[in-house]
Amino acid sequence: MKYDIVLGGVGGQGILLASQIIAKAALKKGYKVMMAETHGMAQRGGSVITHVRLGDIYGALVPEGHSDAVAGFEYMEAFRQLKFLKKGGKLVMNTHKIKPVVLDTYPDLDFDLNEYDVLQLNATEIAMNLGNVLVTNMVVLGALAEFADLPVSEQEVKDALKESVRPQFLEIDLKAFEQGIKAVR
Amino acid sequence: MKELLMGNEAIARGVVEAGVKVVTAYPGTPSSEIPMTISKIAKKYGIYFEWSTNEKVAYEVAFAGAVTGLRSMVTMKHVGLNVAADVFMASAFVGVDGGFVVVSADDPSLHSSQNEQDNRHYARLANIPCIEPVSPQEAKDFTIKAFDISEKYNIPVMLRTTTRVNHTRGDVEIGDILTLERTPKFEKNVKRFVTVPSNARGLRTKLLEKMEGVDIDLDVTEGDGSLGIIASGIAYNYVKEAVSILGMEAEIYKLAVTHPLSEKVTTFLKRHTEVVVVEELEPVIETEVRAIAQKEGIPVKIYGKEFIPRAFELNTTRVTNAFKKYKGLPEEVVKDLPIPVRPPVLCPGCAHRATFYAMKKAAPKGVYPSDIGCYTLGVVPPISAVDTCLCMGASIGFSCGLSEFISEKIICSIGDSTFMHTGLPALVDAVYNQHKFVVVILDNETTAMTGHQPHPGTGVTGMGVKVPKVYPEKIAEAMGVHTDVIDPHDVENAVKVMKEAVNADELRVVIARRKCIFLEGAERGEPFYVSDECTGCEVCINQLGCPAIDFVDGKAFINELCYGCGVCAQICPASAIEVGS
Repeated sequence: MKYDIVLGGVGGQGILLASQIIAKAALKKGYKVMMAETHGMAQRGGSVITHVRLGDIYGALVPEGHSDAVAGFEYMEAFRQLKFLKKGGKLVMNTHKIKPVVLDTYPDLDFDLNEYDVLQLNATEIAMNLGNVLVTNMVVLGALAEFADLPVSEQEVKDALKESVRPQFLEIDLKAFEQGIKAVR
Repeated sequence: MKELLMGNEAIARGVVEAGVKVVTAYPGTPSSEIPMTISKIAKKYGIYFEWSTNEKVAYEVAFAGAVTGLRSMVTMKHVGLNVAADVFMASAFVGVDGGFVVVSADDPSLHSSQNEQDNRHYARLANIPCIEPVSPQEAKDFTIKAFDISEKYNIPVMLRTTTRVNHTRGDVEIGDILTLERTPKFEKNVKRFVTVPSNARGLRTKLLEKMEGVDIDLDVTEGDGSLGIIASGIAYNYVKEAVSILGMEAEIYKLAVTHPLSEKVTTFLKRHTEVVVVEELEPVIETEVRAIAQKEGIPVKIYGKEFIPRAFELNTTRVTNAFKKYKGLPEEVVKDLPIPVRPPVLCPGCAHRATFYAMKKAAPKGVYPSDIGCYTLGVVPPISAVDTCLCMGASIGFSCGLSEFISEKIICSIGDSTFMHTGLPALVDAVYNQHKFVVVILDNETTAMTGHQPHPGTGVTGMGVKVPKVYPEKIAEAMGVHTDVIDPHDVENAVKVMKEAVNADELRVVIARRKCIFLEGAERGEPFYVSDECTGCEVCINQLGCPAIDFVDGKAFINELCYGCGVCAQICPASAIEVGS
């Protein structure tokens, strides 16, 4: 078994945490895990990407066109990581748009998604309705756990989540995760 | 028991398991999480840890530990070794008693660096062993091995990592902790420790003899085939996957010891007719392997950089394409969608934004040499207040020269941590040689870019001990430089002081002090909003470039990112920005 996931978004959206939760859940289940992270200059509102590889894997970097799933935590960033997704792969994309500061307006992005199995949701709006935009990552994580065929179950992801988030955010993070699952069903 | 650890955390765990007692560092991506992890656990495991002023000092402190018999480590990013190169070279001559490991964290593809350099060259330059892990598990295992090797041969050992090892998380088996009861002792030995020429000549030949005897058994081979592939360091991961994707038959040589090359390399060359050397960056191994073949008269065809790209990090796709090229097959082209880049920018509420505003108001036609840190992001339009960034501390040294040769006003910027690191000697030069320009120290009371480590100006050590702060203004004043300290968020005063400094016709230091927004105790204000008075002049947008200000329907609009710093309200010509929502 081998399962690759590429997660992309904007610095500050909590992509690293979401990725670690999947990795921890897989490790608990006995899978070999590797996860490549972005640090340093990529924070401060820049593009952030993580690669999570589970099972019979070699290095931490997913080759282009081989990922089983891609999670885009922001609309443009989802497209940016599309090159990693294999044909027929699962794409979870947050439709919320965050304008890069260096641009005057958000660009029109219209790319063909016919080759992929796509789930679009406004995770940011769901998070804001829950009262905290910062739980957007947990909404996307919930949607990914439900929509993609991860080698770990929703419950296993949820258990890893409980061990990974700060206690004062546990309740709202769990709610956000559930809302993400609901958005798929 | 297995734990999910980042490569850097795994190295820190290796430090604990190997019974290391001294760790020193200056932070630098991608190395920083090693010392950051040690900093948190140093007391518990009886480790002496310090954030040193720069890599050279860090190296010297740790080296002192090693020659007194304690296992010691110093960590740095690749360019840090440039700073520490002087003592690094000397340390190889002098040798060590306790195990001594220097971690060089290289950054192929320049994810967070000013250059791409291959520090395997440094291991050869100093002539010390160099070993390279490819996963978090190996990062831990090789750390422990490195100490054993160092003690076996009484020589410093380089543990060379790259971003993809440092910042890769993976499953790591946690092992037992070695207890070493050693009493540090400095035994005077002039012939060894005083490297005057008459002594150093002897040390030189001794080092050569020592390295002749080094034999490290960490390389492994796997697979079968007439084709041989030598995979150096992290390239092994990509080679394995590429060979699997292409269904190639080959014997793979996993090269973990990149200096000195094992005898096994020679026998590997002998049993193949063709060998491809796959290594990231420079053709270090390729060149050496070619030399071995020539010297030993081995009739093997050797390939390398004609197929393997030299610039930037490798990955499975690049290695797969290299093998296709080798076999004469068409390469796979990966198309990037035409999506605009999203570069990092200064955070909303970051005081550097206001400092740059004041600098540009004071010298609109000035030249702005800058330095290495978050504030290098001041290069991004519309701030555009960074004209140069060379290396740590170069803002001041470069300005010393530039001020002698051109007539424009020069106003350079350097962070508080960078000033301590290598800005100081350049400021001494400016005073001594009477250079006339303005040094702005952007003092956010931390080393922000690399993850908020303390430094001499913060009053806290790596062991968490409170100590007297080293104030940059006291240093500058002691050198006789007129120095002002400003709060950049008092915009009117900041511009006034900056103008005075620019027009003073002498060397001036201005310290713009305000805490980084991520620090405890940083003042967060009420968010602001734009009233109907907004004329749509775009001054706030064009002069501050704040992520919290958008332009919607011909007017400024403050979004949810507002930190409440109020700088935009102070510069709005229409006084249209107010507190509230």
